[in-house]
Amino acid sequence: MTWIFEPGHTEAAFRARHMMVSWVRGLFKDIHGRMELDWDRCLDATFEGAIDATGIWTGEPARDAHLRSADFLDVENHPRITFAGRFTERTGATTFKGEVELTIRGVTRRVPLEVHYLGEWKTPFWVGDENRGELRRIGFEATAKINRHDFGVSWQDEIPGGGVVVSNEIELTLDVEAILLEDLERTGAIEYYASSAAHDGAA
Amino acid sequence: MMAISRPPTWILEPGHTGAEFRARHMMLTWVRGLFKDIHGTLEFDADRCLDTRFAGEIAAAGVWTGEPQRDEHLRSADFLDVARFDSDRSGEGVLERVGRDVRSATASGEVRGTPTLFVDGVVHRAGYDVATLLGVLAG
Repeated sequence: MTWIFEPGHTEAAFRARHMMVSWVRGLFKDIHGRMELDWDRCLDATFEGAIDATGIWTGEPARDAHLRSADFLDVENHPRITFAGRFTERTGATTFKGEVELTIRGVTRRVPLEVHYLGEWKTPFWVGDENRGELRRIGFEATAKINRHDFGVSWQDEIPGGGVVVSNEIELTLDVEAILLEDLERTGAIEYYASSAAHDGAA
Repeated sequence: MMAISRPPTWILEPGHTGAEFRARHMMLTWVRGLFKDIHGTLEFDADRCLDTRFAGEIAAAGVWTGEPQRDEHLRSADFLDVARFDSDRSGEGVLERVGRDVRSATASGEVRGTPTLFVDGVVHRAGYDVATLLGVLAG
């Protein structure tokens, strides 16, 4: 079964250490992608998506501009971060190990993931006062750690005492809400996503 | 003799101080948001860490979840009611309270800036180091 990421509730969060001490967090939102998942054979599950790297947000415009620059993500040449992955092992009722081919700055690396399934829920699809039918939604949270230098995201500066300004290790969390494609088509809700997908394609 | 000195004061660095929140959407997914640019102070000494105190202020209007419509809703009276906070802050009650302090300070003829410290109603112009302050308080 095909599930489509709901961009309004799919995001990637990251955190890095600053000046050896504090965590600085940032977010990418509006992530588009899809997942193939049948619970009968969940280890065949695959998923893929694209992150708009230009949308990085850490709350400080000067820092965000620096992160978009060639010192970090080089979004002018690499506007998208992409991922394609699968589940490799079921470790519990709602937990999996997975792996993802992650491409940042045009460099692709295989990264292990810890995946947590958050459940399924049926929601109505309202158009005005009319409920056009139920949408089955599923949620996941996946976490990973990467070394940014593996992807050529290598700006660094040293501080006295043998420290660095930005940590090499970055912690990532991917939050995914996905809606069953069949339900999107049956209710007509697909129109909404088709238009946002078109928007994404144009970006 | 009382006056136990407070631990050293640390000023929160707004560029690297943040508050993150997450809530479940539709019973399922985590949706995360951030507040940045937080101002505050921390009184902290690792040798007596249970004396730690901290206080800060988060500009609620800066809530960011990545979707302008949702952020607008979070700022509205349905959630954080940012406008009410702003109107309270510039409201008559607050202006009256600040005005009273300003008039009192001016009337004293002694207040020239921050900090101005009074001990038993007498302005203190000597140093603010611990020994001097303890001396004044003991006297």
